[in-house]
Amino acid sequence: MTRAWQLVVLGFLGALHVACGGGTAPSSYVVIDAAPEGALDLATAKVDGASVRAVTLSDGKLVVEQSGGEDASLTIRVDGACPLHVDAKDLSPAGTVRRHLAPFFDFGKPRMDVGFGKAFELVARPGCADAEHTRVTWNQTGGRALDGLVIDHEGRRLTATMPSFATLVGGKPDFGLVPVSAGARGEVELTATWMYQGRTVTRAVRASAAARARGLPNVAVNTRLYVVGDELHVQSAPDGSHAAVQAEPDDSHAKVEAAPDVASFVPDAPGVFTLADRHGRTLRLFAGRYEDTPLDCGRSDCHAEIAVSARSNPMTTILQRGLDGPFAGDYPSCALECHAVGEPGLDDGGFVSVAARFGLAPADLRRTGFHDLPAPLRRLGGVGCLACHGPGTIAEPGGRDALLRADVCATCHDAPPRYGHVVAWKSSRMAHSDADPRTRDGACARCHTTWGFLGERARKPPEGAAPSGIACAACHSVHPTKAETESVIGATCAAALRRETPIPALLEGAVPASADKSRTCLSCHTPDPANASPTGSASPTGSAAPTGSAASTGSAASTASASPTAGASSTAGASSTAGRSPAASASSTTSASPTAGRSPAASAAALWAGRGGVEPGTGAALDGGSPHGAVAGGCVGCHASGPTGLGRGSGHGFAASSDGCATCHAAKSDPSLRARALGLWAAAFHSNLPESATPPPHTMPPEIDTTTARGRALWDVALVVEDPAADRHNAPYARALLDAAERVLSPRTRAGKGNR
Amino acid sequence: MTLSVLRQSFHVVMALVVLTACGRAPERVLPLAIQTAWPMPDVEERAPCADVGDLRACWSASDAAGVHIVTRRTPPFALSSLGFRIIGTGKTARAVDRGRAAPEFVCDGDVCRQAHPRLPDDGEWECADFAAIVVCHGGAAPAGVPPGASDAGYVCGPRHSRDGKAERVCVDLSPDTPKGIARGERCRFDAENGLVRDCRKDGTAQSVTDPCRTATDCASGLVCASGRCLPPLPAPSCWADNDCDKSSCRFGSCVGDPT
Repeated sequence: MTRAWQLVVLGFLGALHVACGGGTAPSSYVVIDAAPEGALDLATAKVDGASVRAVTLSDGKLVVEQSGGEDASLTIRVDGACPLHVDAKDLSPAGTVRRHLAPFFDFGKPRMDVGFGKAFELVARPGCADAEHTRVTWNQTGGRALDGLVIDHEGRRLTATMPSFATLVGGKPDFGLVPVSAGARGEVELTATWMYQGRTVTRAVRASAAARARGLPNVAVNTRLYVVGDELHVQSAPDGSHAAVQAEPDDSHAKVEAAPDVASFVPDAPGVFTLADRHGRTLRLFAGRYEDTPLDCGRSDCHAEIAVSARSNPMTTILQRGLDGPFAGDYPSCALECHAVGEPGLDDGGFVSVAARFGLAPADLRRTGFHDLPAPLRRLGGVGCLACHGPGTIAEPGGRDALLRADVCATCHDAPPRYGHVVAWKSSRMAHSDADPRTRDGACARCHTTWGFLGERARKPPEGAAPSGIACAACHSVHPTKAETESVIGATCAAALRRETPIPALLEGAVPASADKSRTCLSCHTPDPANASPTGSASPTGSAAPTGSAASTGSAASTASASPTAGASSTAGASSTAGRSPAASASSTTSASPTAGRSPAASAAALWAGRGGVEPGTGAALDGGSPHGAVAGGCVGCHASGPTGLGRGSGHGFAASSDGCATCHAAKSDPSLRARALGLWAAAFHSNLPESATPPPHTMPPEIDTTTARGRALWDVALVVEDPAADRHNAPYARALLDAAERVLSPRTRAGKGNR
Repeated sequence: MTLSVLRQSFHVVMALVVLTACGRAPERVLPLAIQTAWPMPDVEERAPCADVGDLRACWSASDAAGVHIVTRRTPPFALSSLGFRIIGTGKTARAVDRGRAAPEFVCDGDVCRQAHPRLPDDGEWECADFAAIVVCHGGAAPAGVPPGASDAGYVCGPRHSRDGKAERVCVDLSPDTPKGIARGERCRFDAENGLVRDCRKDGTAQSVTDPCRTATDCASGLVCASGRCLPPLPAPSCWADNDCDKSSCRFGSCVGDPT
């Protein structure tokens, strides 16, 4: 009897198991995907259904496993999407049904190319019947306030006008491409909000007047460029382009679209486009898709060393570290335009456009991790070669100078108020170092131009090019050597990309490790006894380049020979004291005239370190203390101020802040020292100029003959005159220099005699 | 009558019991699992095995032809039109959606095009289709890209190049096809305007996994086993015959003796 009951119970349980769907009936499957542009996160899915066995998210697709039966209907709800209902009759045993999840409102792709001063509209297209009667509210959550903002159709349409070219970009070159920085493109972020089934849903939608532009001739296809010229027209175009090639400028089918403020042009195919204006000036553009551009730059006969170091460069690895690491929030969607290659929203073959081809939305990328990304996306993820150099083929030599302009970096680092690096730099004297055309050539270029500082004559801008200052690439090495990269892995980008510059011989032993951040400043703010004068033999293309960067570009110049210290350090056998004196250097530098190049240039670092002076009577080095040598960071320990209201990068204004001075000094400066130095200088050269008009000594003949006591005294005076902040950098040392000089100069200056 | 009522009552009670016992509400929400690979531990009993076309082959010295076909099992659904690929062998075998690493084909008439075709890794490669087997050579590391993972579908080896080039050769015995079946398709890589792979329907195209009775029914370099044209166990080392000392290069491996 007991056994019979057991059989009955077991039979009942078996029937129950089958009835519950636990039998061997085959499952059916529903696979659901969503367009990446909808920015839906399928991980928020809630699947309601009586027969659902399992719900799995796999690479941007939902897989719902269902047991069969009449109650197999299910409903899928995802934040921001229309509910998706799958009816039981659509399912079949062991079969797969595909469904596409529609966003509740479809806002389309980001509008990254609206046009300067142009009106645009954002339409919230309903994805389902419920959305057709849902009200949308808008808030501008980023960017400059829009003109002509109108919201109608219960919030489902927004129209506005982008700011003008003059408002956003301002100046433009006489001829050529107009660089458009991240800030100058006029990006706005508008957030749409609506309520659905008791929940508040928000979506951020972005729009820009223009795509960013580096100002380089390597450009992405399908990206509008802004160009300047007199009646520009297309002279030639590659096969596959639909551009109207004009024989005459007045052809009415111009592909170059004229506009009152600035013309524009869209390269529509890979290849070389030539634009010309009515003066015969030509602009050659090398168009390509990012995804199709080979990354074989590291071939053994090309840039092998750079390619090796670039693999672990903080720029290269930024997306990898972001996806695999601790970056939070809505990363990477907030950062893809600067942590990957290409302009989101455009069909340029960049990261976002290729990710869409794989059906991957930013939320999917976050879950995938960098190393599980498809290989084509890994090639475009991070700030690799193409992010700065652009797609397409290698540009002609004549078009490569723009690479050293700040415009390249500004496509990401000029996005105030959050990223203010370029804004701050533009406020600094560094940005205007070559404003005077006379500084763009000869020895001046070594410290007044970026190409001169780097010793890259091939990148010297053509005559008439706009000044570009000492730009980012002078201090930041985006192609660090392998050793540089390895020494700073894990450090911030700023630290990792700081150029490693040799310490000038004059300052050897005087620069503490705490001042390493400022090593790059030293070579141009320390007088070089061997190569100090604009009339000297030094050339920025010769051995005087301060950074040794030529070695990294494949030039034969070695770091040692490229250093400004080479002249001094080659004084074999001389004592370090004698080696640092201008007299000793002059006597040992046989290739230079003893009276040529003897005026010290930009002496701030020398004053700071208490170095560079010379005993007028003996020619021995006249050293002093360095009371500010212990300031953490060296030069940038104090020169770290810039425009206010910037989130990052304001220190690139390099203005000195006196905030910290009060801890040690009651008085922050001693203007009498400068007046005294200028007085000595003026007396020596019969000059009676006011202080504001006194040019730096290194710019003016006559030169100083440091083989004489009088010349050496003038050298000491010049050191102080060359540094307008000598009293703040090192007042005791400046005073000692002037004291020493005065002992020689005073009787003769009183007699009204000059240097000679 | 009484019996009928009792029967009806019994059915009602049983239905209620079943519903209650199952504990199902009409609507319920299941937790969501994240999964990118599906274990297939019982796909085969021994290694080495690999997907070959839409089949699964294992190589063994005990086989007369050196290779035989085993049952290929994949998840009962499809995430993409490319289907699944089984990576790993034996107990580590697992199925992954091919669409993870390569986009689906877009068809226009008889020609289907895959942008960004599957390559061995993110490096610089030149590839070609031979009888529905893809062979690539090159592999220089891409400049400005962090080191990345290789595609599990490729088997790679150093190229025995006579010109001293430090290249690799990689072989994919089961390249992507528009419908997941290689037979009846002729595919080729085209690098003229960005790398793409075009497949065209062609009933005359010779393919690995074609039915066969002897090796002469198969493309040169394939053997006939289990009634199908199959490749020998790949040992990638060559791109051209010149790379092989005294043999020929077939499907990336030096095979046979031409004499």
